[in-house]
Amino acid sequence: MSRILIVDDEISILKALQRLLRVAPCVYGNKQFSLEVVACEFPSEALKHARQGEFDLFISDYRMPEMDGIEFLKQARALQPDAARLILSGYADLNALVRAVNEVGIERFIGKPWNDYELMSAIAQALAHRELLLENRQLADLVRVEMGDKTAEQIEAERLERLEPGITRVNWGPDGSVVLDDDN
Amino acid sequence: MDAFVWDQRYMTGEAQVDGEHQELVRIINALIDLQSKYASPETVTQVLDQLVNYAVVHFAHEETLMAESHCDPRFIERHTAVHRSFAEQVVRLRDSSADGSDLEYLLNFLTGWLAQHILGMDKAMVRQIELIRGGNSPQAAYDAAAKITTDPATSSMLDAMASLYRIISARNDALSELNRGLEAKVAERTEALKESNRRLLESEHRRSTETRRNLELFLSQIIDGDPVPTLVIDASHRITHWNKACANISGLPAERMVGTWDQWMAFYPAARPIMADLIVDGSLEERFNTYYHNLFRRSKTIEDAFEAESFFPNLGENGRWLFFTAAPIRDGEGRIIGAIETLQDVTDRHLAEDELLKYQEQLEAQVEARTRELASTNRQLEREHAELTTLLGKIDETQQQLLQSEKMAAIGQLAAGVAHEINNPVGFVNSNLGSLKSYTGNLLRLIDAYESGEPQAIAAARQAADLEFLREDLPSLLAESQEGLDRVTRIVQDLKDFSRVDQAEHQRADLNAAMNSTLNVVRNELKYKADVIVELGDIPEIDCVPAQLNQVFMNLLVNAAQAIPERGKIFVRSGVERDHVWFEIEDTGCGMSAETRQRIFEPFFTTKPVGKGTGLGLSISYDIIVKRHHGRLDVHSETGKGTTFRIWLPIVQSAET
Repeated sequence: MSRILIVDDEISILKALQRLLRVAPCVYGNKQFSLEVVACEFPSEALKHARQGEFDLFISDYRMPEMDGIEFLKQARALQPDAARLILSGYADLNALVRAVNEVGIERFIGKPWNDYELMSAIAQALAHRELLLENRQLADLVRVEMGDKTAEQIEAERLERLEPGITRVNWGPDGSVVLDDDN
Repeated sequence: MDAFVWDQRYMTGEAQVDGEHQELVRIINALIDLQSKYASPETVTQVLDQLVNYAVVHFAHEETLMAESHCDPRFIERHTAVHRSFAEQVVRLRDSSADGSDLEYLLNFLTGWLAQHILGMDKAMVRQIELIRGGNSPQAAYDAAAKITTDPATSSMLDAMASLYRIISARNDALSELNRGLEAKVAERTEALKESNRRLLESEHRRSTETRRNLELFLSQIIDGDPVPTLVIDASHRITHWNKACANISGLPAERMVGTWDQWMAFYPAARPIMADLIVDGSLEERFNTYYHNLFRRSKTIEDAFEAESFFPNLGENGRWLFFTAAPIRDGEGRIIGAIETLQDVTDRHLAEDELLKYQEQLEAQVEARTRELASTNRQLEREHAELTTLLGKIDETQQQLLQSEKMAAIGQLAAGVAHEINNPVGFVNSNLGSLKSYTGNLLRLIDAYESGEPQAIAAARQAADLEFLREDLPSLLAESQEGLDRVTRIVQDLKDFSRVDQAEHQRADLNAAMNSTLNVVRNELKYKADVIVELGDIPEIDCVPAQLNQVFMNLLVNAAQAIPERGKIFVRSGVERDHVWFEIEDTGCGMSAETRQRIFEPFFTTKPVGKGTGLGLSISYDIIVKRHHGRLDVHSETGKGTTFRIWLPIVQSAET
């Protein structure tokens, strides 16, 4: 089950996407992905979801109140670096596109109005790509452990770090105290 | 006058004496006769001389007689003195009366004196002589004679005669004296006059000589002091004046030249007449032509004078140009007695003329060169002008393009917003239709299953169709899609309202409606940045071009949104005040600094990053409000707090617009 978080300030878009993702097959090669969709009207709400659960894919609108899609994806990446990112926008500004690619490393930029098939392929592709990366990493880690390059502890630490970035580091205050993030 | 009548009374008794007395009487009578006949003075003088001579002879005889007779010396002396006195008197009278005027007086005197003398003195003499002869001593004779008294008549007559004679004699003496004095005075006066006359003549002569000399000197000085070379010749062609200037110019001193006939020497290598010579000769025109080759002409200022101008290679170092004038000198009767010639060194003038000519040529060349330069400059200028015109055209074009691009930029911005707004509904409607298609397929398959009547197939189809979900989702899908299409329709309508072609003309329009349509178009743009609070008041329709004002509204609204960094508020208000309506667009953005505020209406001024703004939006807005609608555009801004633009528009445009 692949978890997808969708952010768009337009509820009708969210609902249309939910309908699409519910019914349309999400296939890449011979691999079929079953999807679980979380739709959020506001980026802040979406980020809250991102802190609470792991997602395989973030799909964001570009122009939104509060923050634009790039800002949102930046923050989402900080939370979940392994999740794939995708922008679905009706606003095809080159600046925005450049920023999206350079700053956020999006997988795809899909314009509105979208073609349902293309959108589903892009989603499937992104998910497959992510799965491949993860599998690669896992296999590489296995090899490294076998070859003694990495310990199981290190790999566990990296996994934890991925789950909760910063968890493996202690933020020392100047007086020797431990500073805990309280912003989230 | 009566003649002297001789009678016996006069007889003395001495024969010689009596004879001579008678002769004297005769001569006197002859004189009286002459006087009565108005004889000529010469004749009278002649006779008078005869009388005097005879008297002298007679007196000499009497004196001899007295001496021989040994008369008393006292008597002789007295008698001789009387004779002398008579002689003197007669001579004086004769001299003074030579012209005959006093002849009568003389004759009276003569007759008187002779009578008295004979009766008195001569008779006494004879008596004494008789006494001496009678043997008496002279003294006794003299005394006796003195005692003898004549008869009373004769005695008184003799006395009277004697006194008369004395008076006459005294008067005569006085007159003679006076006469002498007068004559002396006259002579003296005459002498003085002569002397004075002589002196006068002498001084007059001296003065005239001096004057002439002065005049000559004066003339010489004039000629000599004249800076114009001047020479004068006399009728014999001899040089009389050769002034210093002449000496300077010819190099020949006056001492050398004056008095000679060498005037040619100053000007020519060989002897020949100069112009003055020709004037003196009077051989004017025919020889002038020989010597001056028609170069001469009559002087305009001096009568009879001729002038000419010529080059003299012998003069000075490089020769000199001389302008010379010769005029005749005439005496009182108009005869030519000489000629004066003046020379003017006009070399400098000729040089200057040459220089001038040269300079003129140079100038002409310069002018020509300058003209050529100017022409080329002109051509260049024309070329440049043409280039400038082209450039200007290009600038114009560019400006048009810029205006267009500003419009396009605005439209582009708008289009982006609009695209977003349209793409969203189109996106979800489209997607919904896709979903609807799959729903419909499921439903149709379900119907098919029902039609087949197979419960298994029906159950499978129901499962596949997820009918419950469809029941729930289909209405909302349709409703949402409907709403999306409505939105698209509305946006298109707003766009149409915003850019209505029929609003590009002057008309009465409700600007609140215009503002609303603009807001609709840009709202999608604004909503990500700001909450738009619209507070439009009741305003009348005004004379305006709505399309232009829409552009202004849009500019101000988009600017307001862009001034807001995160999220803020935009207030849109309107109202009416007297004959103007106003619109106010206030944002809670970053505001502007004073410098920025001063420049916002300048074309191409922008605070936006390159490529984000043309810098023309507010400039165009200003143009539209102020120039085309005769309104006002006020700005109030405070850094960090926000900016308020207020547009004032007259309700009625003045007739000219």
